[in-house]
Parts: sequence; C-alpha cells; structure tokens
Amino acid sequence: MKKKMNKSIMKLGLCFIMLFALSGCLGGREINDLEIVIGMGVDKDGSTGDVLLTAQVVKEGEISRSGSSSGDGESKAFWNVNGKGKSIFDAVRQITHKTGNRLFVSHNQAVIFGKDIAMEGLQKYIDFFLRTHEMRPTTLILIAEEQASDIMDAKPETEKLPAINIAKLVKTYGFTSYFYKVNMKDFASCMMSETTASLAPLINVSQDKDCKDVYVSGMAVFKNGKMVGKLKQDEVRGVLWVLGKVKSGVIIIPSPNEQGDVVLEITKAKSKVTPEIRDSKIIMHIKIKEESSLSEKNTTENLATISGLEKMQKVTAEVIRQEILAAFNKSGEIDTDVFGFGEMLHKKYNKEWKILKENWDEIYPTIELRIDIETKIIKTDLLKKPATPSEEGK
Amino acid sequence: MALLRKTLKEYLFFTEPDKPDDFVLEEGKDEGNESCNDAVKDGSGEKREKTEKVRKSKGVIKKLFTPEREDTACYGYDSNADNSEKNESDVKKESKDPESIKRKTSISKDVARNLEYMRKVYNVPLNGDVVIREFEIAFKDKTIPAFSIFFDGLVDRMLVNESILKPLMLLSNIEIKGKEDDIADYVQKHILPQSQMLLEESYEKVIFGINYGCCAIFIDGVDKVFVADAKGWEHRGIERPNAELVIQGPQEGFGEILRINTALIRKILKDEKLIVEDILIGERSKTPCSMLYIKDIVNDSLVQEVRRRLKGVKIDHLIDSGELEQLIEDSTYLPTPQVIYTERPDRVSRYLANGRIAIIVSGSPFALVVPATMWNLFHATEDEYVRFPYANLLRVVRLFAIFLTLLLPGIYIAITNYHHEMIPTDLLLAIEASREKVPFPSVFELLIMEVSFELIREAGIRIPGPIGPTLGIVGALILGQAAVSANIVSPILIIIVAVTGIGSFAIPNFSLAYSFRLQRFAYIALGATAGFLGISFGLFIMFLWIAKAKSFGVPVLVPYGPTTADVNKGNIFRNPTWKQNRRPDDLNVKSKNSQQEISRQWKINEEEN
Repeated sequence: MKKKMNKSIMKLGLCFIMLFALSGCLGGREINDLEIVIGMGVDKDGSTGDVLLTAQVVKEGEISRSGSSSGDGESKAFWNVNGKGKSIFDAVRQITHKTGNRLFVSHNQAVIFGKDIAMEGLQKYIDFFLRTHEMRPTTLILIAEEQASDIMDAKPETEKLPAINIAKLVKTYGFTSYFYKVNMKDFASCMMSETTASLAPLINVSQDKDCKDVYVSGMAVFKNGKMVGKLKQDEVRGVLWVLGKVKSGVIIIPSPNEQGDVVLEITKAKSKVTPEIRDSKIIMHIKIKEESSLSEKNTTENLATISGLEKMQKVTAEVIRQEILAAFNKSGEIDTDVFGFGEMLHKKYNKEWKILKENWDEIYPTIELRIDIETKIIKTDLLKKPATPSEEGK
Repeated sequence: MALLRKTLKEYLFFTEPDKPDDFVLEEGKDEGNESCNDAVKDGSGEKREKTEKVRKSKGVIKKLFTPEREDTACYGYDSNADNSEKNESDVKKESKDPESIKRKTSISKDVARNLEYMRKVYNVPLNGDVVIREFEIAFKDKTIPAFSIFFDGLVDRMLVNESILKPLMLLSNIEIKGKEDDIADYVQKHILPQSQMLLEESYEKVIFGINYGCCAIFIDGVDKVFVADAKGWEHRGIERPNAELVIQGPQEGFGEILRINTALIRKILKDEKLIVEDILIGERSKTPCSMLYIKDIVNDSLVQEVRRRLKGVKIDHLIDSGELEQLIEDSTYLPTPQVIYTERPDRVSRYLANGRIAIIVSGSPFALVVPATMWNLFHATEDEYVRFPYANLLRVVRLFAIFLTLLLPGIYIAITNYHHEMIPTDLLLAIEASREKVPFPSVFELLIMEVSFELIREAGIRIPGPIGPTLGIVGALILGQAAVSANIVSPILIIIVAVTGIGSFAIPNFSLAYSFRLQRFAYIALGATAGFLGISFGLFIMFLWIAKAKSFGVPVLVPYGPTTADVNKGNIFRNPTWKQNRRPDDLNVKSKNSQQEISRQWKINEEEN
C-alpha cells in the first residue's frame, strides 16, 4: 500500500519536473521588476555614426497619480532613456545600466525612426525589432520628419504617455484616410517584395506656444528599404482608394450650381484592380465603388433632390479620380510602385513578369490607368432641406 | 532508485491497462441480480476470487490514491442471511464477554429475574435516565407483578401514563368480554391501545427497542416482552433549509427524525412503488438508515450495490450522514464529491424520480443521493422551478463562478509573473502602479490575502450569532482597506480575492465549493512555479483524475466523459420542461421516459379543435 502511494507520488513528481525540463519554462519575473517600454525612437548620432536609441519607460508611480498633480509641470509619467551603441541591441543593453532593470518591450506601442536613419535604409535597423521574441509584430512603425527623440519628448495634454498618444492618433487614421497605420509585419512584408514600395506614416511636432503637438503629416515612401520621398495627405488617399483601404473621410466638392462647397463623408469604399497587358501596353483597370453621406454644405440650395444628388455624385467621382491620378503621378516622379501594381501583374501574368521586372522602373510610369468610379450619396443625414426660408408656393 | 527505474519503464513501455472498476452500472435489470445471486450461492471460493479481482482491478489513479478496503469489498457480496450468520459467529468468538451471551438468552418467565437482569444491563441506579416502574396487573381474580422500563426523555411521558400504565393498572379490572386465559393475549388484544406494539422474545431486540425510545413491559409468567412504541423525544420541527435556500419552490427542509424525513419524501412522491428500506448501521449505535428508491424505475443492480456498501459499513457509531458519505464513496482522495448531499425533500424526490437512490440517516438533516455526476453537483434546486431562460442565465453565472473560484488567483499569479505580454497595456500599467510599494512577491501577497480570507470565513462560522456580520464587515472592509493603505497588498489583489470568495459561494453544492477552495491553492502554487503551463498541467491531471472516477458505477463526467444517448439533454444548459422526456441515460433505469413524448397534450387538442 505504502509502496503504491510512493510510486504514485513519484509519478506525479516526474510529470511536474518534466514541465520544466521539457518546456524550459522558467524565469518568472515580478511585475514591478519590469521596465515597461512603451515606445522607442531610433536616431543616428551625427558625430560617431552610432545608433542613438531612446526608450520611453513608464514611471508607474506617476501613472496612478490622478490629475490633481498636473499643476506640477515637472512630473512626467514617462522617462526617456537614451543609449548609444553600435547596433540597436547593443544600445538596448546599454540602457539596462541606466534603468537597473531589463527592458520589457512586449508592450511597445510604436517604434519611431529618425529621418536620417530612414534615408540610410531601414533594412539593418528593423531586424532587431522583427527578431526579438518579446516584440510584437503589430508594433506601429513611424518615421520622424526630424529627430525621433524630439517626438518622444513631446508631452501630450490628455494622455500621460507620448507613445500611447502617438499610437492612438495613428490608429484613428480611418476618420480621414489621409494616411494609414503600418506595423512591423506589414512593413517587413512590403520590404520583401521586389517592386512594391513600402510606406510608413511621417510624424512631426508642431511648436504651438508652450505646448507641443504631434501630428502625422503624410507618408514616407521607401524603395529598397531607403526613404526616397514623401506623399502628401491627398496623395496618400489616392493610393488608399486604389488599395481599397479607405475607411472613412471627408470629400469636399464644389456645389454643383452655386458658389460654395459641399462636404461628403465617405461611408463605404471598395476597389478592384485588374491588370491587363494589351498590345504591349500595361493597363490597370481600377474599379471603385464609393458610398457617402452629405454631412455639411454652405449653400442655400436644396440638394436633396434626385438631380442634385446625381450631379454631386459625378463631381465626387471626379475628385476621387484626381486624387488617384495625383498619387500616381507623384509615384511616377520618384519611380516607386506604391500601389503594388508589380505584384498584381506578377500574379496574373507570371511569364511576362520575368521580363517586365527587369525594367520595372522604366515601365512603371508608362502604365495606363483606366479608372471607373461609381459613387453614391446614400443619405443626407438629419436635414433634407437646408435651414433657409422656404420658397412660398414653390 | 529501483523504484524510479521501474516507474520510468512503465512510462516508456506500453502495458495492458487493468480492468477499470469493480462495479460498473450496466444496462439491463436482471443481469445485476443474477450475478449477485451466483456470488452468494458459490460461497467462499467465489468470494476469494472476487477479492483478488477487486485487488487487481483498481485503475491507475484510483490505485494511486485509494487505500484498499478489501474488507468491505469482499463482505459486500454477502446476502442478508449470510451477513447475520457472520454476526453470530462474531458473537461466538467474543464469547468471553458475558453480556453478549446473556443478550442471546431467552427471556425468563420469572419477572424478578428479568428485573434483576435489566437492572444489570442498564446499570441501574448508576444510570440516571432509566425509569423502571413496577406495578401489578389485576387479571381476572389474581394480580400479576409486572414492570415497565423506558428511558426518561426518549418516550412521551403522557403516552406512557395514559395508554400503557393506566390501562394495565386500572382498566384491567374492568370486566371485558374476553375469553382468553393467557395473559399475554389478553393484554395485547384488549388492554394496550397501541398502534405499534411488538412481542419480542429475545433480550437483544428488547434492549434495542428500549434504546430507541420504546417502553418495554415485562409481565410475570410470560416469556415475551411487550415493546410499545412511545417515542416522544424532543426534536426540531420542519424548518426552512439553511444551506439550500430557494426563492421559488418548496420551503421545507429535512429534520433530524428519520421517519419525518421519509414521510416528507413520501408526501411529495405519493407512490406505492417508493421503497423505504431500513438498514441499521453502527455496531453499537444501531443508527437506523433508510434507503429510498422507486422500485420500477431504479436499476436493480444499483440497489444491490448500494445495499452491499451500506451493509459493509462496520463502525461502532454512526452519527451523521456526512460520515456515511465518506464510508460509502468510491474514492476518498478524489478532489470532488461523489455523493449529492442535500437537505431538501423536493430535490431528493426529483432524483428518486430519475432513478437514483437516496439514503437518509436518522439524526441527520442531510440526505445522500447516489450516484452523483459532476453536473448534479453543479445544478441547483431552483433550476427546475424557474422558467428555462432564467435557469440558463443562472447556470452560466454558476459556471463562471466555478471558473473564478478555481482558477482566478492562479491565473493572476501566472499572468503577473510570467505572461506580462498578455495583459492589455493599460491594465499592466495599473497593476504595476498598484504593486509599486508592496514589499512582498506577488505569490506571498496573494497567499496572505487568501489565508486571511479563509480565516474570516472560518471565524465567521464559529463566532456567536450576533457578532457574525460584524466580523464580516471588520474582516472584509477594514482589514482589506488597512492592508492596502499599509502597502502590504495591492488593491487589485483585494478584488481578485474578493471575487474568488464570492464565486465560491455561488456554487450550489457546498462540498464542491470546499473542493474548489482547496484546489485553488494548488493552482496558485502551479501558477507561481510554471505559469500557464503549470495551470494547464494541473487542469490536465485533475481532468484525468475526474474522468477516471466513478460514483456507484456511473462515471462522474457522464454524459460527456463516456458519451451517452442524452449528451445534449440539459446538463450544462437546461432544456424547456416539456422537452425533458427521458430520464438520465447513464442510470440505465427500467423505464426510460419520464413524461409522455408530447407532454403538452393541450397543444394537439388545440389544433384538432
């Protein structure tokens, strides 16, 4: 009896030991021994050429303190620690000696690269962020118009942590569709493509009196990992129309009959791109379906009539077409395939692509776009007639 | 070391699994009976074989944790007669004890000898509450000496005075048209107006009767004793159940009196097929127990098995059904209970109607119902009484409560120590901020709070009534608040412990709640040593263990463990009442349907009209 009992305990013990032996699951860490990194900035040290890493570490004591201490301008809930090193990992380990604890980067919200790093090429810097197991592939990637560390320093008014503020404002791109969020995984997969240019939001700080505001000014265009140019907000939306990534946003069109503007809000947008090679010419058929609602207008005319809506729909289509063409022209200038047309051709015309890709840079600007836009204004929100004196007796 | 090598070998090489269990509830009502009869006929050789089989046939996990109770296992197949024979032989072996011989001796005709003997047995006058009343019966022309003996307090004194002593002493003088010359016949037929009166011939039975609240009357010249039922002890009335309150449904609970309890069930079921089988348990205490079942529903082999186990219990004193539960359950070390423990007659009745067996112990307001599956423990009485969507809401809440009680502290420890990346960023920051000034590791912190919560709970039960709620408030509010402001624990931890505690109260079966309270500490340890991996290891072991377990031949996880025909029939979620046509399939009952296929006949009538 006792022997059996011993044996059973031994069996259980063996199972338990196997937990550790087979999985290597050791090394629990107390939560307050962590230095939680919420954002990272990568810059280049001009003089030495070393990497200058800024890690934004949370000061947990300040987090819990509610707004009462806001009068004390000095108290910040974050701490930007700098580290220099030959590589990013080197710099990360250097920072450990300043913080006293190992950095914990699982909750990193955004990685911001300085402009000089982006110009040099992200290829060799991004490797660490993709390789390390603690890092999430969904971490946002951003390019600073100047130094990344400046952006990390800009203390937001409502949020306590700049990195969280930045992540938030990038994630709300859908309201305008003037840029879109790019995370590590997306960026890396774009970089792996031979022709497609990768995009990343450009972020900047505006000095306004004594407070600094962070905003996204457009998107940086990368070719072979190096930043080659910049797309402005309208141009970015041109790209997004084609890619079908427009979520919502505002289209301003001139009022069809009177002086003044009509503002539409995009409620739905779909796109379909079919490449075609005809007579040794590449034609991209772009079909866009868009639905919007009339959200604002500053004219007195009643546009909620069938003819009024039809007119507006035509004008809207024209505006969208112009945005797409502007984006295409811009990308032609810097010779980068921001739309990913190359990949589409690759999929459909596998054989021809082998020849095409050799001279893709020359071919790309000659692509003919055939844009077919179908727009629909589905509602006029709460008002049908404008709030003007009604015309008596029609 | 050799043991270790052997264990390793066992893991690496396949071995034929043993026969799983000694009793499996099979389908078919006759098989069980036959096999049992065979066992009895074949006698001892067969019995030895059976014992060996039992020894061999214990499954792995059971083998690990069950102490072998060979005795009960091998005596168990004894039939009734066999059992009493054994008792006699036992008695003979103990023949050095003079008492036991005398008990077997027959009653003398001489009342003086009887009186002397009874005095000796009851240690009069050492024993204060024994009342021996000597008197004389006037019969025809002569007077006959007699005495009555009973325990003061156990009998109804008015009853003894009015309908035993008074008729014997006074009314026997009255001329009654009786032709009997025999005084025993005369007394039985004309004088004692008692509904329950026995004529006993052995001291043993007389003494048992007296111990159980009867009044024994010895009459000179008669070698038999009148044992009149005059039980009149004080007892608690029928009250509302304390542990299993419902809002909607019957409000009666069991009391301590066996007959009242069985009557409560009979009152609900009103079924002549309801059998109340009496069994005495306890060598000395002779506690009367009743085994209840509905004869034409229940599986016969299940009845045999329960009877076998009850008769195989050999202890001196049985006080409460909780003790009996521990003596008849399948596995002592299984973390979950295998018997339903309830104080509600309506609940017992429902289980009886489903083909289960109830055991009521005299002196205990809790009835045992077997066999029990995990789901029975998880169901509450009220589930069947409230409308079905509400019942399902309650069940979801209860499942959630089980999850919280069992795993929440363990998961908290695992996450905060190993899986920081799983918490949403804001929550992580909040937890970190709240733990900033706490000097202890989080496991220690959690254990402090869990232990003090258990302290409050235990003290709350022990503390005298009026102070109880005060303690709760002092303990929960002030202690928690003070612990937080003293930076001993973090506020988030207080929430965890409080939610865990509340969750454990939402589990309907108290025994199951105990089990989860205990296991919670194991999960804290596992979570602290190996994170989620440890917790899943624990869950894996626990489920293996439970999946193996059987309660009276019925697998505990049925109908999901082994899948049965009614796998989707209201175990986790309840079906509407009109759909509950069949009794649980795992009980292999004699009549499968509990209501007509279309239980709402008015629906058809409506269409016809």
